[in-house]
Amino acid sequence: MKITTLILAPLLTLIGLNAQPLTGTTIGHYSKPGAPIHMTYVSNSVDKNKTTDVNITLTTTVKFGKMNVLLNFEEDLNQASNSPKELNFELKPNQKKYLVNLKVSSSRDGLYYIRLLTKIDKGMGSKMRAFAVPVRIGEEPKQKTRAMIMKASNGENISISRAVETIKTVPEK
Amino acid sequence: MSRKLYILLLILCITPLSLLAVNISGTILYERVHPTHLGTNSSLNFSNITQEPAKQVLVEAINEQSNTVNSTYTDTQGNYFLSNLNSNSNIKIRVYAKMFKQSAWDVKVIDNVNRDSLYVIEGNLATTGFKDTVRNLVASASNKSSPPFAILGSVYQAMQKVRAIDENVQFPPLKMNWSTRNISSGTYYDGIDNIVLQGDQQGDSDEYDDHIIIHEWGHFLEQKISRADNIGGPHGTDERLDIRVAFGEGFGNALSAIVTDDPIYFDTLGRNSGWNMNIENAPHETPGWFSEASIQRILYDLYDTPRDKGDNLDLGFQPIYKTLTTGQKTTPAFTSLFSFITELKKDNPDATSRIDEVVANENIATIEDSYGSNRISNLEEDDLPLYRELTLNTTIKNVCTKNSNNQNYNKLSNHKYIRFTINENNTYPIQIKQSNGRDSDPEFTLFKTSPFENFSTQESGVAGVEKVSLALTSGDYILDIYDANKRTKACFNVSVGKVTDSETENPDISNPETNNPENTTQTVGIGLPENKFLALFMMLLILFVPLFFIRKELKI
Repeated sequence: MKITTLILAPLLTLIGLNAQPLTGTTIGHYSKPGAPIHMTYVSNSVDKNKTTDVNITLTTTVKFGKMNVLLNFEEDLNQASNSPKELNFELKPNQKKYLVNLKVSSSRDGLYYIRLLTKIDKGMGSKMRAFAVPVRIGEEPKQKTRAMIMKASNGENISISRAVETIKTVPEK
Repeated sequence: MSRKLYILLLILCITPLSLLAVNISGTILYERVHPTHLGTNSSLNFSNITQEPAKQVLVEAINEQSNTVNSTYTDTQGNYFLSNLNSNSNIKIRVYAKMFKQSAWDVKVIDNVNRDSLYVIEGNLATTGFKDTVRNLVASASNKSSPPFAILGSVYQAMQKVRAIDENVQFPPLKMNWSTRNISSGTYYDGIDNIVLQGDQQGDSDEYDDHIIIHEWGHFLEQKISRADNIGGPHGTDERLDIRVAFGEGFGNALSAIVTDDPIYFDTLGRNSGWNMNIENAPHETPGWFSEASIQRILYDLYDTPRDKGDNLDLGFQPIYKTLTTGQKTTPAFTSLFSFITELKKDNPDATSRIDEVVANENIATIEDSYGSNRISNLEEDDLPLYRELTLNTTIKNVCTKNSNNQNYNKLSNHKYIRFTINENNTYPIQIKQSNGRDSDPEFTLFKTSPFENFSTQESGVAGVEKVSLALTSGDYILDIYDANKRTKACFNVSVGKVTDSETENPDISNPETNNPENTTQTVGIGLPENKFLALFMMLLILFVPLFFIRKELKI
């Protein structure tokens, strides 16, 4: 038994290491023009029917104005009763980070997204930027691809969709 | 007998018919969803959909065995013609999201989430019959088959704008990566041969946002045909950016308006959200040579025909393109508004004063050289001068980088530039040493300027100092200095050759690294792989394997 424990301990530790929270950031990417807001997040994976924390940090160098954040939770991803769907921040010169802390759960396994639509308004027209934060609940089911994947005659992978087609015979001249 | 004769006659009649060749022709269209603009808000309007020709895309006739029996490319109206197909055989038409022309372009749209599959649309497997037929195919917006062709349409439009003034230009291969599962990928050019586009159908998707696609394609054009020293990163139109970033992003914005002849740059974020800005007339939030918004307005005003206040020029695209591919490409300074305007004025001496007028509209004093010399300073302390000149074997003091947000790396004064000249091939020590503490991590990239190339990057991670000896050939160089720790303000003494800083303990120039106190100790230990997962596994093995062998002694 003890020998078994000795052998299994490293393996169990490795398995435990797999349960890492999802983290990410938009900082460092080539971003398209938009509101000068960057996002980092920590999204803790959890079993279904359990509540998990999603901690989002929005960073901006804008010192004055308002920042509006609209939150959209994917279907089947439930937010805690006191989780907001819209946040408004007054931007301040001595504050660069604005926190959005959420609690979510789901009764179904899967990879879900919380979508954020951010907008900064400095009184001269607003700019926006969209983000998406992944939340893993339980085991991730296999993705269903809508289009078929096959190979072209040259061996290249192709993703096929149906076209709207009309066929007519060319009238004789 | 008569029955046999009848069958023979039937065979003799049918056989020639089946040997007849037939042609299939048609038009390939895709559906483009247009935006609605209300003030500075924009959104996709699925009630405003037009059918556009899929230009110069690959079309194949595929038989029942999935073999290609003939292929061609559509013309500029989306028309195709496939000839000499077997009559009375089952064929389907397949259209690839791929444009290819020898020595001209090679662009395709792939699903980067699904094994880089090339997007195609197909018609039905149907008999060719005994007469020519017309098969028209439409990539629909409703089943998401049109986005790859809409993306190609925007790229095609941009390529043709360039080819209209340079018919011999050869664009390198380019892959447009798009998927409905690009939910948090962002939209960007990777600096090599990929543009990635958001495709989140419940949030931000860019397949119909032609200005965004052309903006990213502009980075590709600038890098491949001109020269782009843009260091990338997040940016906004109201920020004070590193001059390389400001020009690269301003150029991308301006190009989107130039290609489409539409100054309304827009980014739709689903059916009900999005924003836009007027490339030409947006409010001047933070005008200057560090502002991508100022640069986009300058470039668009240089291009456009209608003359407005402070804009008495309508150069068109050709002079802009010529400057990008000649003077800007070989400038000994970093690519910026300064280098571009300097070279543009050289190419267009008769328009100099009017170019200065357009630039002055953005609160920018007359540009005299590629280094932005003689700037009028209304900025923060230490922002100017942009370039400082260093003489060999001397030390420049108080070269200060600044960072108002410890995440930034591409804003004005996050980097400092030092110019110097080497007259004799030799090995030279280069030292960047912090003078206001030891909490920074100075690093640098050294560029040789003629031809312009990244010569060396030094990122030792040593606190407060970066020192190295490099073999340098004669020529001009630029040091790009930055603080990897992104301290609010880090000031450095910079030297190439002998260090004349009085703080230096040993002025020996032959091998400064051996005199560096930081180099007198070395770490000895087991080298672990960088992958933390693998490193922990190795540590656990080291711990548990010996226990296994001594278990008897331990009585376990």
